Amino acid sequence: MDQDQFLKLLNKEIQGTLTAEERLLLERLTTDNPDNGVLYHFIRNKYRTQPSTNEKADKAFDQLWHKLEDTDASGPVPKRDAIKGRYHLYLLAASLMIFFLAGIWWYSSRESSIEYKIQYSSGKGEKRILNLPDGSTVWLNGDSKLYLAADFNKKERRVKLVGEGFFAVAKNKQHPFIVSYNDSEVKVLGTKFNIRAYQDENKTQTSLVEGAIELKSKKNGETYRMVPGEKLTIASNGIVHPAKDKIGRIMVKRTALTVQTGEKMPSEALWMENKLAFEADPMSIVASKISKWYNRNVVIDNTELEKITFTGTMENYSLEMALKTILTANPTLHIREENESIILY
Amino acid sequence: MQKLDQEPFLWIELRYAIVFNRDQLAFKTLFKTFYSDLYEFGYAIIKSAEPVEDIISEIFMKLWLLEDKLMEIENIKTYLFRSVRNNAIKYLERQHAHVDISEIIDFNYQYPSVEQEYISSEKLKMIQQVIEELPSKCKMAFTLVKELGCTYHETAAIMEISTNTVDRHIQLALRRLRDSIILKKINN
Repeated sequence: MDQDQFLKLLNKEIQGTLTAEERLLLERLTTDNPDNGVLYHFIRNKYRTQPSTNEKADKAFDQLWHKLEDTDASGPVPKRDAIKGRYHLYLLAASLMIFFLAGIWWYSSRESSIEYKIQYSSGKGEKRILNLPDGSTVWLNGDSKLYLAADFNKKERRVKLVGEGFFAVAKNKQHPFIVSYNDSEVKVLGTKFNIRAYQDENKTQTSLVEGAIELKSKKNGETYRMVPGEKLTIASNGIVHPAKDKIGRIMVKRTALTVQTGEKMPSEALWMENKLAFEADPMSIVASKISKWYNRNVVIDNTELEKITFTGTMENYSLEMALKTILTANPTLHIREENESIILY
Repeated sequence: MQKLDQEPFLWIELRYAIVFNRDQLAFKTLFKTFYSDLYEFGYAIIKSAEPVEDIISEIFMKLWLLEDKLMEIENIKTYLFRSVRNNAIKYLERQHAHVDISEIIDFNYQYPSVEQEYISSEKLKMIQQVIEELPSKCKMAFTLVKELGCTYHETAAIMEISTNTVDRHIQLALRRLRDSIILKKINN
């Protein structure tokens, strides 16, 4: 009896799920019975990697790296630990690197002067699918614009977004894909993500569905690396004051994307499936989403409404149904119509 | 191994450095963190140094060439150990094309001879003897959990079995160990 209990407790000890009470009991069972003690100490004594094996690992890694260098262009770009005899090559590479870095600096410093040539736009309540010349696809939500740089796909693939777009970027390592919007830009290799950056909303939201992106905020100079399933919200200078924290920094919030039950995509990307989705959106965003979706002017007339949020997905709802649903969910909310505008208060 | 276990964010950082900066140092850190344990694990299946070294090298080459697909690997530890296990079994299958592979596969993990507090070397030898006689899969599960610091969940992912099965393997190992410790005492 005691023995089975001992084994059960030992199993829990291995899994690290022992409660304080159970630990006391286990310790008593081991001190009372020296046989149990032997097994207990054996289990607890964990092996640690010996440092002597590191030399072997170093050697194995060097061999591996050589093989990678021989494979192809996508192989490694060796840096400091230069191999003898190739020294001049590395010097050359280093000076090229300096040119390259200087180029990036120059390029980003003159960024405001980037010439955008092609423009795609969608009207309010309209959605568009764009096939870009590099094979990437962009879905534009209502009232949005996408600009392509004049030299798109030459050195890099630079675009500018105003509004909301979902990007499925074709993979091309030689030509990074860069999206500028509001005060941010993201650099990607090949991935799927959604950007919501309307100029009349007080924040921008970047949601990564697949792959990897690097987001640079010009507001605070920070770079954020995002993982799939993550959303980054940055407060911007909209109509409402940008939210700042106690020491005056711009608010940046990292959250996980949520997929509502029955849906395949996170709420942030459901607009592509013609579904109007809200994910804990404050009323200003709710109003903005509705006015862009139905092409009607919807505004809020009470800053207190920022504290009320709404979550839900609507498919084939009329404007009346949509408003009624939101009002039912928030009984404190009122509505009135004034000169073609819908006002929430 | 310890550090990556405790800090899942370290993997996120390494992963980014490898994907975006093609950072050799980050890649090397990853390699060195796991090399010895992967080697011992693979050697326990194949029992020959060279093919194990080749397998590990191939896995890491593939990893580097994955580029941004690397972002999809959530748990690098289970990814690496599972790859070693699968490739080691495939290697054995190639070596013994006309034999039932389940009869060949055994798992002989070289237990490091570390001084054990509280346990005499004689008792330790006896314990290792018992472990050696466990069924092969049970041995692998027990080794992953005890020696390689895997959770039941990770062990299940590596061996491609359910967590319940892992639990049953561990229960069996513990019971056999306990029984033989008691038996040994009676015999003496």
